[in-house]
Amino acid sequence: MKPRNIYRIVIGLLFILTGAVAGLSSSGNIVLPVILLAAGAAFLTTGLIRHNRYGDDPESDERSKKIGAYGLSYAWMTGAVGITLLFWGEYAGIGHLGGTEALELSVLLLVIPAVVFQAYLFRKGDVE
Amino acid sequence: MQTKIKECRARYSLTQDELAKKVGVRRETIVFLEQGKYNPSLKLAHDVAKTLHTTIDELFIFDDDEPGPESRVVLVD
Repeated sequence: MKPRNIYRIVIGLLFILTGAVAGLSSSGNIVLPVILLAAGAAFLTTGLIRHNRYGDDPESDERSKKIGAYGLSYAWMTGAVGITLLFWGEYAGIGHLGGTEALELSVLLLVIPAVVFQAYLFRKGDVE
Repeated sequence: MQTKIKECRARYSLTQDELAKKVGVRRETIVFLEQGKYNPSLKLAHDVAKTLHTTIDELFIFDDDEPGPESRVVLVD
C-alpha cells in the first residue's frame, strides 16, 4: 500500500477515535464530535477507495494533472461570470439574496462546474 | 494526430498496462494516446519511444507531416 494511503487511513482512524471520545466525554455539544467523525470518515474512505482503485499504480499523471488544472480554470471563469451576474442581478433589483445564500451560490458556482468540466475533459481525453 | 504505439507495443508483446507502468502513467493515458486523442508532453513521447525502441518521429504522425511538392527540399552539393 502506498504511504499516502496509509497516512489517510491512519489519520481517518485517529479522527474517528478522537470524535468518539469527544462525543462520549462532552455532554450536549455535538458539533466538534460530528466534525471529527465526518472528517475521519472522509479520510478513511478516501484512503480505502484510492487503494482499491489504483493499488500501487500512479493515481495521477501528466494528463490527469493537466485536465485537473484546466477544469479548475474553466470553473473559475464560470464562477466569476456567475458571481458577476449575481451582483448585477442584485444591483438591478432583479433578485435579493442574503449573505448566506450568496455564499452558498458562490460555492456551488465554483465547485459544480469544476466537477463537470473535469468529468467532461477526462471523457474527452485531452483539453484541446 | 495518429500513432503507431499499438503496432510497436504488439511487436514487444506489451500490454497497455505494462507500457503505462514502464513510462509511469495511468493506463487510460496510453489508451487515449493510442487513439490519438491525447497530445503528450515531449518527455512522455520520448519515454514511450525509448521504451518501444523507436523514435518520436516514427511513433507520432501529425496530419501535416506529409510534405507537399512545394515544401520538398532538394539537397545539392
